This record gives sequence, C-alpha cells and structure tokens, in this order.
Amino acid sequence: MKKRSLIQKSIYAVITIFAVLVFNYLLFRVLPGDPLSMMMRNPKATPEMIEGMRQLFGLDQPWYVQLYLYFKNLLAGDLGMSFYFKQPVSSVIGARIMPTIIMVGLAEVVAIFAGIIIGLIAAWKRGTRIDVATLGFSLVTYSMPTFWLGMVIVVVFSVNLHLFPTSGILTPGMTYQTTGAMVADYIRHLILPTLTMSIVLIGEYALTMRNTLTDVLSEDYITTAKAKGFDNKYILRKHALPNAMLPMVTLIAINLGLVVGGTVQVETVFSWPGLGSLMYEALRARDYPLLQGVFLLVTVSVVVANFIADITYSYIDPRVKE
Amino acid sequence: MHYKEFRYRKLKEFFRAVKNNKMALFGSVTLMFFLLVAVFGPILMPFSTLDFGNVEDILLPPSGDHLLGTDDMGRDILANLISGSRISLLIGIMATLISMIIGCVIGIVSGYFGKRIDQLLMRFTDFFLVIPWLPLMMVLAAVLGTNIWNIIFVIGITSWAGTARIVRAQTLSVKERQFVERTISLGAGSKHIMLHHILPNVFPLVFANTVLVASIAIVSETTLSFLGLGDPSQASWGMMLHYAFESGAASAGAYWYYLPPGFCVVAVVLSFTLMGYAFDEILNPKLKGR
Amino acid sequence: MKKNKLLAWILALLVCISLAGCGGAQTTEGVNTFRIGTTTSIDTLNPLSSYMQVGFEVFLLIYDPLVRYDENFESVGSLAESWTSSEDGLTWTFNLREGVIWHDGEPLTSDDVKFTYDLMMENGLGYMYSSYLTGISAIECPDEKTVVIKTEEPKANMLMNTTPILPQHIWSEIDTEELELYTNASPVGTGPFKFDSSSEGVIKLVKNDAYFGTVPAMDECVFVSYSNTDTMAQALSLGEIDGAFNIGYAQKKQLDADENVTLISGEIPGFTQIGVNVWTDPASKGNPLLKDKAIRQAIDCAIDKQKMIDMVYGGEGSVGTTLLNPGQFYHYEPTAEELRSYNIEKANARLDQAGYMDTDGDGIREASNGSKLEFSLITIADNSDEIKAGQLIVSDCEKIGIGIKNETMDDGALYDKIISGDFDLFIWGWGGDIDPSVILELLTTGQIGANNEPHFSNAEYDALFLEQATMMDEKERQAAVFEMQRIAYDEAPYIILLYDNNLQAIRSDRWTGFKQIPAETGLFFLNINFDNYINIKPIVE
Repeated sequence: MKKRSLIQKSIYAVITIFAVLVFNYLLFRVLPGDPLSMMMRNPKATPEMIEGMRQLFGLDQPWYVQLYLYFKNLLAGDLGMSFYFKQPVSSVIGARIMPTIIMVGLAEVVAIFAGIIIGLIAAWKRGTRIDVATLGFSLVTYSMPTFWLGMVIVVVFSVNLHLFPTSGILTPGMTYQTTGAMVADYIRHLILPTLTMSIVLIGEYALTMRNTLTDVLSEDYITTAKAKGFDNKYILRKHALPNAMLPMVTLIAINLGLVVGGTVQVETVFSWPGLGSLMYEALRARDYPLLQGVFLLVTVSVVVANFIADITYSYIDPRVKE
Repeated sequence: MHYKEFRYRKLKEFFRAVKNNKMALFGSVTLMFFLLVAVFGPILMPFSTLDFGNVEDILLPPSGDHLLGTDDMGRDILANLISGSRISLLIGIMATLISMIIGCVIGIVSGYFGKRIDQLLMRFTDFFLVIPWLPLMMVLAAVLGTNIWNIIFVIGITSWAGTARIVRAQTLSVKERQFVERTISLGAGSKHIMLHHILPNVFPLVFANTVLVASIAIVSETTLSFLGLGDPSQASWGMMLHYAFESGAASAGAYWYYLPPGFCVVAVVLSFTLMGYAFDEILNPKLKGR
Repeated sequence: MKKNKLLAWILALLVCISLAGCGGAQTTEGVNTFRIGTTTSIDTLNPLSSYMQVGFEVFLLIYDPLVRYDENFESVGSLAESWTSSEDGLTWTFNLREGVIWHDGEPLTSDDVKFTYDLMMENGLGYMYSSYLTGISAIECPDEKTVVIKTEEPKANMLMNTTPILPQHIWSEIDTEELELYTNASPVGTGPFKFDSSSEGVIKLVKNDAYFGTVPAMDECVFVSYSNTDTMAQALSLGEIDGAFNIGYAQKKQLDADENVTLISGEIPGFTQIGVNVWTDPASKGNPLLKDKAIRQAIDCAIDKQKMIDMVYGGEGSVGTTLLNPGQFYHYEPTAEELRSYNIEKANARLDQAGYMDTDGDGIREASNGSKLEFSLITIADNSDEIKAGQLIVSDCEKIGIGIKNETMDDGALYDKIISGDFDLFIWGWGGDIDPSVILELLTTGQIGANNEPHFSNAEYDALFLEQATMMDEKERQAAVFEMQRIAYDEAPYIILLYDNNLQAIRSDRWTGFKQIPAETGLFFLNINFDNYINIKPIVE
C-alpha cells in the first residue's frame, strides 16, 4: 500500500503546485489597473517609450504567449522584474528571506519549547485548574487577531516600559563598533515580533501536546510501566514524550499556512523587513511580479510542507491508513 | 489529514475531558448578548453619538458622557462598538453562509457521485485547504475592491474547504445507509436524493462546522480591515482597529480606543468557537471516539 | 534541574539585552550621524524617474544645480558663479565655478550641464524637474566653464531652474531605452554629501570634504523610512532618530510635550484638493452633472474646511481657496464677493437657483431629468487623513442634499482612473514650488491625460499660462497669474480643501544650529534649501 500511496500523494502534490502556478498567473492578470502606468510616472512619455516598456516586460504579447513565457522563466528561476524596486524579483525576495526565517524560526522554537512544557503539565495535572487555564489560554490566543496582540505588546513593552524598540530590524543609521553590539541590537529588535508570533502558536502546541499525552498515558504499556513501579518522570521521558512528539512534528508542518498569515500581520505591525511585510508592500504598490513571486514562494512552501507532513505521518503512525 | 480537521479533533477530545457544559453556556450567553446588541443596539443608544464631534471631543477618556470615551474624530466609542457589532456580525454570518453553501454542494456532490467527480472536486478542495488563507484573501480583496459585499464574498470563497471535506465524509456514510439505498433502488433521481435524503442527514454536522467557520470569518474581516482592505464606509470592529492603529491611538495612550474593539472580537470569536464544539458534541454523538 | 537552569539563562539574557538597549542608540566615537525619519521610502535613486518627496531631498544634497535658493528663497549661484542675460532676454550666459569635481574625482565641465538638460528634454524624463526646462531652445558650450542657454521667448523662471546636474561621463554610458529603469545604485554628484549606501529603506550619505561651498558640520546624514507616523514619532522620542519630517498630526501632542524635541509646523508649498471630473469629452465616465459649476461651487461652499483642519489635521494648515499658497507673492486672494466660505444656506441657495430640487423627498436632490446628485469620492487607501476628510465631506454634503459615497483604492489604481477620466471626485494633494508655473501648468489643456486630473480646459487660462511664462516683469506676471487663479477658482475643477502644514522635529537636546527657512513660518527640511543639512551640528557636552 505504502509505495502506491506515496506515488499517488506525490502526483497530487505536483498537481496542486501546478494549479497554484496557473491560479497565481491568472489571478495577477485580473488585478485592476495598468501596471505600466504604475511603473512610469512620467506624463511626458512618448508612445514609443511606452511601447518599449511593454516589450521589455512582455506585456505586448497575447495572454497565452505570456503564460508560456511565465512558465519558461519560472523554470529558469526567473521571476521577472519588480516594477517598484526596479530589480529582479528573485533578488528582492532574497534580501527579505532571512529576517523572516530568523523571526519565524525563533518563534517556532520558543513556541514548541513552551508548548511542550505547558502541555506536559496540563496532561499530568489533568482536570485541575492548570489544565483548564491551558485550554482557556489556547482558545483566547486562537480567537485574538494577531495584529491586535502585536499592538498591545508594543504598547506594553515599548511605549510604557521602554524595554524594546517599536519596530525595524536594526537601529537606523547606527555604526557598530563590534559585531557583538550589532547582534545585541538585532536581538533587541527581534524580541517583540518573536514574542507575538510565539504567543499565537503556543496555545496550539500546548493543546496538541496535552491531548496526545493524555492519549498516550492511557495506553496499555504505560499502565504496565506504572504497574511495574517505574518512576513517573521516567515514564514520561522514556515512553510518553517520544510517542507524543509525532503529532507535534506533523502539526508544525501543517501549521505553516497559519504561520504565513501571522507573519504578514506581525511584520506589518513591527515593520520587520521580511517576506510578510514585503507581500504587503508589493500589494500596495501593485507590483505584480513581486507579489506573484512572494505568493508563489509562500504557497509552494506550504504545499510542500503539507505533503512532507502527510507522508511522514502516514509512514510513522501505523494507525493512519487511507 | 489537514490542519483544520486535525485541530478540530484534538480540541473536541479536550472538551470532553473538561466537561464542556460551562463553556458552551458561556459561549451561547455571550453570543446571544452580542446578537441582541446588534439587533436592538440602535434603539438603545443615543442616536446622535455617531456624528462627528468637534475638536474638543477628540480622544476623550471614558467619562459619564462617554462611557468608553471618544475616538480621533470625536465619536462615542460605545456607540461605534454597537454599530460595529452589526457590521462585524453581518460579515461573519453572511460569509459563513456562502462558505456553507459552497462546502455543502461540493461535499455532497463529491461524496454522492464518487469516482472521477470526487477525485476532481477533492483536488480542488485540497487546493483551497493548503493555500495560505490570508495572502489569498489579501490578493482577492485587492482584485475586487474594498466594499462590504466583496469582503463577504472573499471570506466565503476562501473558507469552505474544511466544510466540504466534512460533508463529503458524512455523505459517504449516509449513502451506505439502508433507506438511501432503498430510495435509489426505487428509482429516485440524484438531485432528489441529495436534497431530500442526504442533506437533512448531513446538516447537523454542517451546522456545528458553520459556527466554527463564523469565528474564522470574523477574525478574517478584522485582519483584512487592519491591512487597509476593509470597507471605509462601514465602521466594523476591524475598521475601528485600523483607524486606531493609523491614528497612533496606541502610543498616545488612548487604551479606550484600541482595546474595546479587540475585546469584542475576542469575545465573539471565542463564543462562536465554544458553541461550535458544543454543538458538535450534542448533535453528533455518533462521532465519539475515533 | 537542567530545565530550570536553561530558563534562568534565557531570563538573564533577556534582561541583559533590554538593559543594553536602555542607553539608547549611540553613534561611533568621533563620527556624528544625523538620522532623519520620513514616512515615504525612496523609490529609486535615479533622478530621471524618481517621483517621491524623499528622493527630491536626497538629490538636493548629492547633486548641485546651476542656481540654488538661499534662506529667503532668492536665487544664488551654485555651480554657476555668475550669469548675464542679453538685452532681449533670449540668451543667458552662465559662468561655472572653477575647480568643481565630481565625487569620483572627475572635473565638472559645461558639457555636463548641456548633457543633463538635453537628456531630460529629449527623453521627456525627470518628472520633478522637467517643468524647469520648458522654453529652452538651445544650449551651447563655448568653453569648459561657460554655458549659453537660448530661448525663443523670454523665460521668466530661468533663475528658478534647480535641475540637478548629472555627470556626463557616467550617464552617457546608458542606453536611451534603459534610462528610466536605470537604478543609479551609487549616485555620483558634486553636492555637499556623497552617497554611501542604501538598504532596507535606509539611505546613508557622508559629507563631501571637497565641496566647493561650506562643508557640512555633520559627518553623516541618514534617511530612514518608517511605515507609519506613529512608529516614527516613537523612534524620535526614544532617540533612535535625530529629526523627522511628515510627522503625523495625531502625534503632535505627544511630541510637543517632549522637552528633548523641537517640533515645528511650517507651511509647505502645495495643497490637498478634491479633484472633480469636468471632462467634456464623451469618453468621460464621470457623472455628467459635475460639469455644472453650480454643483462644484455648492460643494465647495458646503464643506467646513476649518473644522476639517481642526479635526483631521490637528489644526495645522489653512483653509484652501486658490491654486497658490497664501504666503506666496503670486497668491491671489478671492474678493469678498468671489469667496466661497463655509455657508450651508448659501450652498443650498446655489443649488435651488440652479434648479436642483429634492422632488421625491429622500434627502437627495435631483436634476430636472431626474438623475440624482449622487457622486463617488475616491480616497487613497493608506492615507488615513484623507479618508477621514472624506468622511467629513460626506456628512457636510448630506446637509445640502448631495449624496457622496466613499471609496478607497491604492494610489496606482486611482491614478489609472484619473488618467482615463473614470471618476466623479477624489481627494489627493499636490506639492508646489517657488515658481508658480509648476502648479499653474496642472490645469492647462496640454496636461489632459497627464497631470490635468480634472481634465479641465479653458482657452483663456491656457493663453495666460503661456504669456506669464515669458513675462520678465514681476508685477506684470503677477497680474496674469492672479487672473489665472481667479478663473480656476470660479470654475472650481479643483476644490482646494487646505494648504497643508508639515510637522517636523529635531532632537534639540543633541543638535543645534538649525533654523526654520524662511524664518518663523518655514520648515527645517523639504524646502528646496539645504542650509540645515550644512549647519546642524552636534551639541558637545
């Protein structure tokens, strides 16, 4: 079953990615407004100049030629020129990837770490106040608009307590004497967006951890282990935790779609120069190629992550059969 | 195995564990409160408070005249919240309706006909399940332009996939039941069976799911508005937060401006979520256990 | 236990980092950096295609024109040391300064000047400067240090031509087709500042020690763009930046109270207006009722502009009337009879008299053919001030039986709608200049499809525009310009809401030597004069 299922799932994933590509292309053709007028704020442009620009960007071709060119260029890794930044899309995106990876990566680590601990405590003290509080926290953070949480965090930590800067990635115009000073400055800017992002994720992870642990703890072999007189902590560490980690790993991958949405909001609130804020800027500037590039990258990553999670899950967990 | 289902199942188990009754009660009371406010609010609140104030009315802290203070245009925040509740709830409910209809149609058709149609429709559904919702909504809202009906449409069209999946699964099981098989053998048309036999049996499950979708819809509206993609002529809670952010209410210390709309959103979304799980428990006892 | 130890480490680290931050941002020993916050990021470093305000400011510092404005906005020599004009005013001779070198070490010659002007004129490039060059028919370079400019007609604004001179040895290498998209990633000029670097919305300039004029007192000047005015104000309060312009009106109170900050509000040339679609061409997709000036005038009269300024613009700015700013020599003040000040009764009477009545009692007036006085008003989605202004206009117009529906879109989409004449009303702004031609040209017939947003066309206005540009006598020119403004005010294709003020601030606890230009009413930055960038110096403790 496994091999066939793997091939089938791979085909599905490829189809989905292809659909994303076509969808992506079509969507951006129907955006309102003429991209040329955005690019050329030049009232005195001659018709020849405008024509020249059209040719340069391939806008003079019929749609199917444009679609063909789009796929051809895509395969060559060429995402086109950004109208607004007047640079290749790939290099604009390239410059913005790292901040997002660092921020989201750190937030994930913090959230997973905190989520596991909280979930563990809740599962262990099932039915107590701590358990209920975990559920409450998880539900409230789930219900909260991410940007609003960010706003409140800025007010508390920057405006009132003056602990961290309000926005950006480094103090502007700063000349650093040592690399250490720069890293410290970077970290100071990193903390609040990371905190916001983590809070959004912690509830989710804690809840999953708690539920899986509860399941695991009621399994026969745990009961057996208990009966054999093993120490509680030992049982948790050696038996329960490893088994509960599986759904966590899957959840992290599946969660990526949610994380993308959160990233757009967090980066906008904190002016964090990553992919999320780039997407927002591109949307505002009607920079089609750039928006298309970011959207593509994000969607394909999510599809791939889901695919990997799906495969991993069905391979490792024998209970999942489809 | 997808995110929403995954989460859904886990939460549901949790619920059972902590005796959901109190929470369901909390959810329904809160939601009822907001619905009543939305429906009767305009009768209760002073009618002139939505007009723009004068310069001296700008960003007043809470007082006897203005229980929750005023905003940056000198309007009463409480009155704004009340009128915002109508718009936010309207968007949430309408978007959910669209999502429910699309989800039901696709789910039932897919589950009933099976084979190729099922394959095709489920690919289509998967596509909408995996695409990150916020970027998709942002792009669609920008394409269509910012008015309230477009926003409803955008949210509806991007959030039906989970419903479709659940409906399909339920359709598959209903289809196998004897009475449906008997109806088929009696020569009833597909349309008739789907409408009169499958839909009524699928509906309880859809209803519970719908309530959950509503919570997503309201958060979505708030987020789109915050990003400047809301309808400027409709002062929803999301638009209030957008204006609060734009006018720097947060750093000006005008907590009465940026906190209440946020609390309202959290309260309503929370109650929808709580009720959704509760409904599911009550209406679908069959689904207990895996 | 291990876990606790880790937690303790994390906490300790957090505390250290936050404490390290409390000292505020200090610059490197011996180098003083002046950091200016702005709300717009630079679009490109290419002066031929840039149209953003901050670009203008950066080019002012990197490049030199032939003549500059001094602190009283009188023209003084920059690259040109002296100049003469012929009797008939058709030939101008500029003598260039000796020993001026480009930032890369090449000497400046008269060819650079000719090259720059020709480049812009031939290719129609240089959005922000092209209007300075109209009327020039030929440029000659008799020797390396002399530029002779010939015109067909006398050119009134010859000494207001502040076009930046670009180095021929760099720009002549670029293909004509690529000029507009050329990134100019590392601009080379002759100005008081050299370009250092640009990344992530931060542009860093360093002083040019070889500058022929006064060398700046600051070592580095850094422009930082912020995505919203609130964060910028916070950054200023926290000392992350040393100065700022385009400060939000909502942050005025907070910064006023900050004793480390000197906040000023100065008049900035230009205005915020409602553009009305008055296009008479059948291609116009606007509501045809707006072609009746009675309706336009009634709307103008019904808007409580002072209240709008107070509510939305923090009381900063003055009530708008004619095209040029009140402080300017060329500003025309409407007579008491012409003036349309806020008056609902008058606005209602104007509509009654023009025959627009509410016949069906729904609160909205109708024309005799039954069509309703309902219009859409477009505002730019990320301009919250203008959105709020739009909301006030809706409630004002309600009172005179005109229904307005607000709509928002991004500026690009609005630009397309304007160009194609597919709108009723919109709110946007224009930045002005010392030379009145820049603003006056907007409403000429030749600018339809370009900057003439309302698609306004008036033969008398067009004729006066051409005439005034050739009048060398200031009084005579003033009279012509007055008449143009009178026509535009009466026709009301633009309903000018207000003349904006710009809020600007400097950290006066750290810096000194700055002044408002012109004194009392002017600005620190954004005023086509760079004195503050030269003179601001750090306070040494």
